[in-house]
Amino acid sequence: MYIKSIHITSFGPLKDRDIVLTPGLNIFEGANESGKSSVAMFIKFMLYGLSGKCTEGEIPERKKYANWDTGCAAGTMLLSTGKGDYQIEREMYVPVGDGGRSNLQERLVVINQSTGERCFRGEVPGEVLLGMTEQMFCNSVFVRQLGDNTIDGTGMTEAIENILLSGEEGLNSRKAAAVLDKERKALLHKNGAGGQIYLLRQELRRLEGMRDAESRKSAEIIALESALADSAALIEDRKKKGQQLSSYAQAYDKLQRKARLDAALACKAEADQLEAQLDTFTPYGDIGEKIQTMERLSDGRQSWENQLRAMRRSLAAIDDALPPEMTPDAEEAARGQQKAAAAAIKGRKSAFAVSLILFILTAVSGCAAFFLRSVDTYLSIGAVVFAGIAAICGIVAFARSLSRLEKYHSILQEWGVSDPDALGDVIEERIHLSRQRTAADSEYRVLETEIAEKEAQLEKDIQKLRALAAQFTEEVPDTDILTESALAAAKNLIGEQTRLRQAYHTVAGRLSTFADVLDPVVQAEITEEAGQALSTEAGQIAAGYTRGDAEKARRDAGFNRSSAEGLQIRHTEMEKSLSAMRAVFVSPAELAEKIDGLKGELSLLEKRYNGITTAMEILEAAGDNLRQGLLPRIVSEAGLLLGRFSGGKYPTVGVAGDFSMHLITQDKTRELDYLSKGTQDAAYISLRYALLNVLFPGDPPPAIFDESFSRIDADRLSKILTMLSAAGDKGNQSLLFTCRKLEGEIVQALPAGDDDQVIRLAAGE
Amino acid sequence: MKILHTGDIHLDSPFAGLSPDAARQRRSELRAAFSDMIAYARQQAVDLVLIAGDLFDKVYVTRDTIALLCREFASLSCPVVIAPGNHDPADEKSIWKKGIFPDNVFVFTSAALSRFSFDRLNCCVYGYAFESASLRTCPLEGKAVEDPTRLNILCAHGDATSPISAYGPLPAGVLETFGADYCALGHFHNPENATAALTVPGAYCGCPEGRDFGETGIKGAVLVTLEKEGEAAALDWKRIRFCRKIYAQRTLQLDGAAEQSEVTSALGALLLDAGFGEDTLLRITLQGTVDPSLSIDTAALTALGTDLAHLEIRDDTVPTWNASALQNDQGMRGEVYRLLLPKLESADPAERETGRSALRFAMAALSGKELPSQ
Repeated sequence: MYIKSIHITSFGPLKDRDIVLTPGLNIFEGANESGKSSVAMFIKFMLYGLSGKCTEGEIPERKKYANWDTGCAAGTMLLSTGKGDYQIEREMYVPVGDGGRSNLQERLVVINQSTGERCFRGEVPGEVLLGMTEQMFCNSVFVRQLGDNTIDGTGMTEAIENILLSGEEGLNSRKAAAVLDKERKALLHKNGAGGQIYLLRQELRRLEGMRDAESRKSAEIIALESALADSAALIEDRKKKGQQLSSYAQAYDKLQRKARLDAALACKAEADQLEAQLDTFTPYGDIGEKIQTMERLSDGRQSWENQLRAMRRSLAAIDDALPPEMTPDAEEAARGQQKAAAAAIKGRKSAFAVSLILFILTAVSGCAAFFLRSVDTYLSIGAVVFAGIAAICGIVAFARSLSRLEKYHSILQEWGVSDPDALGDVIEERIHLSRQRTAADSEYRVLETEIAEKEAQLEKDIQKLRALAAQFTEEVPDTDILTESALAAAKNLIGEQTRLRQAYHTVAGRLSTFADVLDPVVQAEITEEAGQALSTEAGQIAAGYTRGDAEKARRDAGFNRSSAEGLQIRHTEMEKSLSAMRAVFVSPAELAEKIDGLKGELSLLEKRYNGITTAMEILEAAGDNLRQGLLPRIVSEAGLLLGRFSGGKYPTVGVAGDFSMHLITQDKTRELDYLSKGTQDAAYISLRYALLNVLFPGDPPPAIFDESFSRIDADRLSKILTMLSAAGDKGNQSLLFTCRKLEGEIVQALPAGDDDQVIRLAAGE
Repeated sequence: MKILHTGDIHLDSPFAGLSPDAARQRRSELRAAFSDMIAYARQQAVDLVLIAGDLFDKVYVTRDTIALLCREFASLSCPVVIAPGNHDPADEKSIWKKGIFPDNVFVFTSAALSRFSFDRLNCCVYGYAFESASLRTCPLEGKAVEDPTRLNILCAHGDATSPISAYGPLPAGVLETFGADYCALGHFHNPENATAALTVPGAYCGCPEGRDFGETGIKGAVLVTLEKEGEAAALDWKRIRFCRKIYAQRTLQLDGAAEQSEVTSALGALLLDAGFGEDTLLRITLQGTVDPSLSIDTAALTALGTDLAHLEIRDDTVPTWNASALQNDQGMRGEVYRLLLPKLESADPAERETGRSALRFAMAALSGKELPSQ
């Protein structure tokens, strides 16, 4: 396969250029900016078009190679293949500034030269005709400028490794595997305990557990709410019943209060009536007292009369035979005589004894005087005097004793007694009788006075009695009859009065219990409330109530109220529980949606994981396949080429386990990195060319070298060009773009080959 | 007699594949759709409301929903008959047995066939309840309506398409023998095919709101008009839309696409042509073979659905555009492609997907590009 000719209508700096190519080695020689790379790129444009992608650090191909003024890239290329000749016409307009086209437009026509018909519509000519993708074209056929250690930004060693590893310069399957492995690890660690999938699974399990728990809780909440609703209804029912019964009881109370008011009013009327009846007794005054007075007077009268009769009898019974009364002086005198008699008898005895003693003394004194006359005259005279005095005194005393005896006898005689001992009794008896007479006289006088007084009093009482009796009955002469009649009438009156009073007291007692309702304001209130109560249903019902019914209603109302309160407490507790449950409740549906979302996410990640792991496996398998199939042939072919280029110095290319390339001499193995840049370039070119030969053994596409040999020495370059020229003879077209003249000179120095030519490009041409 | 036949409402059930806010909104819309149905029943003065199971999702039901049900049912003057399904079974702890619903709600609470008689309507509603998440026997087996002269209705959650179903099998012969004038059935959310397969008068109501992309199209309930003279019944029914949103799916062929911009413009054109509005939850599946270098940014594409309720992009493209070139590539790329070819051509969609993503990842990694996000 080779390019016969190209016509560049407009491409980068080139316009209207026609270039005819040979099937062999074509060297495009020109200074910098002469358009060499543009020609090389034009070929790619014809085959694959221009990419609009903006790779890092570079402007897109479309912008770079479309004419800067017109935005046009166009031309034709005639390609000869084993299937025939094909002309490719491509025209592309890239949007440029003002006045230019606004949209990208591209026209591509492939014409089969043998039939003249258009073919491969909608297909990429390079892929159809060369059988390779644009990427592969770039990585195998299109060898660009080799710079310091880099080929399009890729290290030379890496590029070679990529070819060895992936069959393509730009593909680093090891890096790709590492990228995939990194992603795999990020998704799920090999031990299954790390990565996004692991975390999601954990989260999923947590949410599923939570959903189940919340679902159960939801059921509990619903059950609790149902219970709460029942409880609320029951409370309401109890309250309602309580209020209803309470209203009945209250209505009953109001009606009862009204009934009580009515009873109070009736009671008051009765009391008033009794009071009026009692008022009729007022003229009688205190009838009881009057009865008592009458009875007392009546009784007193009889008593007086009895007393008068007794007194009169006593007066009549007083004894007139008693001796006349003695005056006190007389009584004293009588008693004096008794004492005088006693004193006289006693004095007589004393006087006699004294006179006796005196006489004895006289005798003694006389004797003494006698005997003393001899002893002491004076004493004898004193004794004689004393005897004389004693004798005189004795006589006097004796005389007195006689006088007193006489007086004693005269007293006895006066009182007619002989026995001195009876004198006292007689005198006392006389005094006693005298006193009896005095008492009887006094009693008589008293009785007389009393009788008179009593008779006057009796009369007075009788008048009074009659006057009192006259108040109660008709007057009759007989006081007893009058009194009896009056008492009977008075007693009747007082009985009636007492009865009325009792009745009044009873009524008044009852009335006093109604004191709270008898106030006019209160009466009005009660009447109004009762009227209002009766206008309600509760009042109507309560009207038929008995006290027992009302009490039962009150009890039931109380029960319902307390029951409602009890239920309310329970209800509140349940509400608290419910609130607590609600506060932490999460909708199971929302959790399920989260779970679904997570499952979806997990499914995507698992799919991604499957894709990544599959890609890794496939990459590994593809690498193995390549290493077993394509790569040995590439290495072998590259070794042959390199041996030829190096004049046999490096007959073999080796590939280590890490896919690093080694050049093997007869006795040494050298790593590529330790060799010269030129040798590296040669090894690289060998590899690329070998790749081309291996990939396209029958009808290889043209190899395009864009400044690829700039660092290779003349000798080695000569060998390479010789090989390319020889390859051209076998139908392997090579297009070599260079700014040096060396390549042209080498080719021209080679044995004349029909298919080698040097095309010189001038800047601005 | 007018009957509103609904079911498979799945109140409170999660909406998969939506954002939390969107899912919350969809649940609200589902409730609104239910409320709309009840309002419609009031407005149409229907004589009977039948709910053929799965009124709510037992696992997810909330107190608000129970309150909503009580409130809405209480607003109806007609009877509401409910036959619990596999998602809201009448098990021991079920709210169906708590007696919290209004007096006009009649709930079947046993897996055995039973009936509610409405003399005012001269009507008998037969039915049964799921007592657990599955029901492998047919409660109608060997049974027939008691009085053929009355309006006899079957309200049930069951599967009339398979006699061995785990969800209340309703074999055609059994239904025919039973002799109901109308079979108000629930279970299939997309009711058209299951209804068409019925050999007795009746219908599957479907769900009132689609819940995911498996439930596309307009959703609602069934309004039934049923009259009977002697033993001859006149039946007419039609579907009424109640859904607020419609799930829809489309595919977009992207053969040869190499740039995201191409995909974006193709998607824009599809959205423009399809004319979907704000009531549409749309899933677009990208198909076709695209350039291996193309990694479609579905998140960016999703942003184009601003005029839709929701836009979901699924990438089912195969990165094998220019396959012949890859096939001929003797290097690593070609080898990778060739090795992945069995997966890419596999009959198993999962295997194909794995192959696709592996190819994309491998190509990106080999090219030194960032790995595709999806």
